Amino acid sequence: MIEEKTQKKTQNKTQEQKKAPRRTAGNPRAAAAPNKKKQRRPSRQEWEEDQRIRQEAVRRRSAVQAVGEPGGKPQNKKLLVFKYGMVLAIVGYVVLLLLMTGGSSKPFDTIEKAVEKTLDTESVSKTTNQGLKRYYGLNAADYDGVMLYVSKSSLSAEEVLLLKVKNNEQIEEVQNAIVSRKDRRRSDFEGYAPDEVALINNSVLSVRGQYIFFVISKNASEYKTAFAKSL
Amino acid sequence: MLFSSVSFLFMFLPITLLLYFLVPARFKNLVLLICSLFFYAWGEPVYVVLMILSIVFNYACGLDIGYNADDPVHAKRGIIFAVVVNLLILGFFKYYGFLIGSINAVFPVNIPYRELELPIGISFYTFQAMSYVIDVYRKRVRPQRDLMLFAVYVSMFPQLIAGPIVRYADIEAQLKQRNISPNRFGDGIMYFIRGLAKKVLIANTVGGIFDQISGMGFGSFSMLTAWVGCVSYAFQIYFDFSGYSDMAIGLGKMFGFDFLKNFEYPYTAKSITDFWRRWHISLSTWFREYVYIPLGGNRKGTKRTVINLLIVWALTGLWHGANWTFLFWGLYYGGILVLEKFVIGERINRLPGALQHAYTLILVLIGWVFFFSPDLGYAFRYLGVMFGIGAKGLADQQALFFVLTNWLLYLVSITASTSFGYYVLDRGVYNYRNGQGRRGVACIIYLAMFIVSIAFLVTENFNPFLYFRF
Amino acid sequence: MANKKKRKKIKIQAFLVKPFLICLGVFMIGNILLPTREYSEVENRSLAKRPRLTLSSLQTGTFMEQYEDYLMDQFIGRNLLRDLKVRIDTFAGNKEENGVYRGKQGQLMEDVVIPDQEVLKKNVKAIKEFAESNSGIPTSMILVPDAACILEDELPSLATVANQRTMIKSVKRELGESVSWVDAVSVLDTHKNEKVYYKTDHHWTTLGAYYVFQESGSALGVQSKEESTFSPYAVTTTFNGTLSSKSGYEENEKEEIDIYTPQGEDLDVVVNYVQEQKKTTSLYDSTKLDTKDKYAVFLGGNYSLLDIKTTVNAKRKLLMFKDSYANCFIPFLTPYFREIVVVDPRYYTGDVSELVGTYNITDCVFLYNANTFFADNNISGVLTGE
Repeated sequence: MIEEKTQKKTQNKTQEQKKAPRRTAGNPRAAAAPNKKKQRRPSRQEWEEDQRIRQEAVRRRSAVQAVGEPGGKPQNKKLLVFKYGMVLAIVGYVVLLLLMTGGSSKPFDTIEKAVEKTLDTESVSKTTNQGLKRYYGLNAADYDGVMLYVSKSSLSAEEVLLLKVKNNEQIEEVQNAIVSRKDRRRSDFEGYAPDEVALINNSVLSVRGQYIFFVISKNASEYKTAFAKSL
Repeated sequence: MLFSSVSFLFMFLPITLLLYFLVPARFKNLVLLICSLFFYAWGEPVYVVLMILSIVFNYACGLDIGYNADDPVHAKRGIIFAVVVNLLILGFFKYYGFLIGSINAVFPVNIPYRELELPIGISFYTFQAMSYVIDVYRKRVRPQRDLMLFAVYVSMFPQLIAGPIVRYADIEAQLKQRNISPNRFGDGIMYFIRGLAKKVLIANTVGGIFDQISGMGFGSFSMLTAWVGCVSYAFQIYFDFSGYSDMAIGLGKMFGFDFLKNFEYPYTAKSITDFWRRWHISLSTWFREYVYIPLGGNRKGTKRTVINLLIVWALTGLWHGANWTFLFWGLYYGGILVLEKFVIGERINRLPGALQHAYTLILVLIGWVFFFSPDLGYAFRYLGVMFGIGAKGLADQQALFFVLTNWLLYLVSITASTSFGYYVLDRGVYNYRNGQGRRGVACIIYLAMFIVSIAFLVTENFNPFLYFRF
Repeated sequence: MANKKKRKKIKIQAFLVKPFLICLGVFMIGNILLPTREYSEVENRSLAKRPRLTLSSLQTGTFMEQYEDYLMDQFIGRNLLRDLKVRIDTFAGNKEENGVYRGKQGQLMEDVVIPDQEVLKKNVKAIKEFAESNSGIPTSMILVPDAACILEDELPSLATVANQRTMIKSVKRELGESVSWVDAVSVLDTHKNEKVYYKTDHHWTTLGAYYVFQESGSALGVQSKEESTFSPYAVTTTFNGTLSSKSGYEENEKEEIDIYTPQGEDLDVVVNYVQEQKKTTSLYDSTKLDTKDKYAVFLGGNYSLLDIKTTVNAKRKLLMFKDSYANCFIPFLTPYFREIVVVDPRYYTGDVSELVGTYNITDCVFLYNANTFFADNNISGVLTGE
């Protein structure tokens, strides 16, 4: 069995060796290319590559003398750093994603309570599910959970919406409804309440998994943080 | 982006083709890379970064292992590191939720978790990158020094989202140098149109029937209806996936790449072993090369071979999705393959052809029940109905309605599942008597298929691809 | 021979290149040049417009979905392509397209909806509780079956639909004594050989509505007049309905819409579209006869809240919860009530209990067609106000 394995290996090797010359031989363009390359300035990548090749050659030369030592020749530090750096980047990116866009398996009520605690109920009051239909044109029964607070005063654009969709296809329609709502509110206040218009323009929309959170308020970022924390 | 979507067919593809063929040779790979990244970003605006990071990481690993070519200790460390990291990434996105959910179900805990959506194509590109890195370790290929070429290999859009899983060794030469001729391009067009027709005309339509049937509550449909549902699913998944693979191969050819075939008329197989040589060939090849053989293959005695086979098939099942049903499905086939290899294989081979086909098809259909069921309970109930338990009668009017109002669809499906279907098409396009190709006829047939596909596509606002979240 | 084949094969493949590329190019450029269409007459819906690019829609991928919808909706030759698909489907044996059966003699019928049991329970419970809590107000329920139920003989052979009769019966059982039930099923059954449903639309004809109105006399407490005092007028003969648009079948079929006017009596009405702040003096909106959706001639379509005041010498005021089936039914009610308040729960966002008080309601009726009722999840929310 072992013999078969080594046979295979040598077969592969010879195949590889066969491959290599065929490639350059039958490829006039590749043969001509190196000349072309020398004429123009090498790109940074090529330069780095050259450096790497040169380093490798140096090491190989020194390694020949060191053959027989346990552990072999020293690692190419640059590559190691590169490798581990990429892993860190990936981990960091995933953590970032989790923190910033990850959804949650927590039930709606938990999130709702957590968000409600932070709301300033002086200026906004909770609507019934009919409110969702009235203001957003959406039917609350279609979704897994709805919490809507609208401003008590007609001079204020303050609003907080927390909604959990049943499936991801609904995210599009909810986002569309929110955009329409923003547009309508903007035209409601345009011209005579520029502060409110500014609030609307700075509104916060956060889609985390199946939770959608929309706030028009001067405390928008606080509410968003509370929401994000509660997930 | 899906191939079978208007934005791909009439926005992305014409523009990419235009750019690719206008640009001088040395920028072609760059154009392909940029367009591929755009293609991926269209479907995954956030996860495109993850794919880029994964590509760079694997590129670095490849270089590192190559550098340690004559240092087995460090090389081994390098490969283990690369494989583990890749598997961790894949595992995290794909199986994390499943794992915690299962723990929550089994143990009296309720660990809340934040879930991230599964990035499209991650199973495919991770496996492709691993094939590269492992082949570098095995010295089958030299590490790719050009990051752009490596990125093109992993991310090129024809095979990025749904395969075939292209091994680096098969494509290495084509990355730098490829022949683009009108013949190849035309061949690519033919593959592409055939694939599009398979997906849009057959798969989506027959999938609609399956959806109707699977939406019915147990006890409301008959045995025959259950079979009709299962057969419909079998056609759907075959034409969906092989259609997509054909489109991938066709697109590859348009850009000068030759991918290996991914399907070879699997429903004409004569045994399960034969079936798996014809279904999702690139995946079973991958598992054989990179899991089965390293585990020892069949070289360590019968007992070990059985274990190896079962491990490989459990993993194959899980690769398809994070659900117990997929694990069961994999082990189901693993078990049958073990039996065929050691126990009944000979006897099957001696059976008359028709019985071999029947044997294979019945086992395959049963397998699909596990594949489409949302959980094991549903699967067993459905199977029960198929065999008379809990069914509303043997056959009823409704089952006949399904079959008769879709007679052409089923006829075409059956024909196109066999090489006879291709023969019919070929016959129309070539005059066999004098070997002349009928250019006009070919043009009309293919353009007609294309336009009819567009008609079906545009009127359906519902266009799922089953293997998508992989 | 094999070589010849190969050579010729190559020629075929190369030959396909130009036509394919031209095809791609034509569609692409055609789509770009074609001006954006707002509305599709055939499909009776507004078409997607170019989506707005925002950071959040980009991040969640919503922008791409919207863009795809936009491209599909605005695709060049969309209607023609749809026709092509329906023709091919029909040739392939299909008798059902998009949930619509094409029966014998071209009668189109919508598939019977099977309700979500949870939602249905909620709705029925809400109706029951509403009726019980307003016990001073007699409440009736008229649940009208769909064409696929009554005209089951017209269904294509072998077609199987769910049994709507049993579903309707179970709703009746659930509601029990809390409402007066009107049996629309047997009435329509008796008259099923007359034209009680439109051929190309999911609504009942005014004739069908009239028969059920006569049946509902005792429940609603109205003495229905003899048929001779209502005369039908055809307001249009070129009606092509919703089922035709939905399925693509029978698009050339033209039908008649009748209105029944009471003879002799001069009845004035004022229809107040409360939310739209519009008032008209007729129950019919003839401007709709120039559009595709001609059934909207009845009341102009569906609105959240209508307040219909009549000049009749009666004291009763009716509150009606309804879907579009009621639109051609209401004219029969106008001689008997001083005021009819019409609520469509799909659009109504106010408080129902306020309505009862504000308008001094004396009677209440729920009028729905079965499919809409079984597919609805608005009723309970509106009735309970939560």
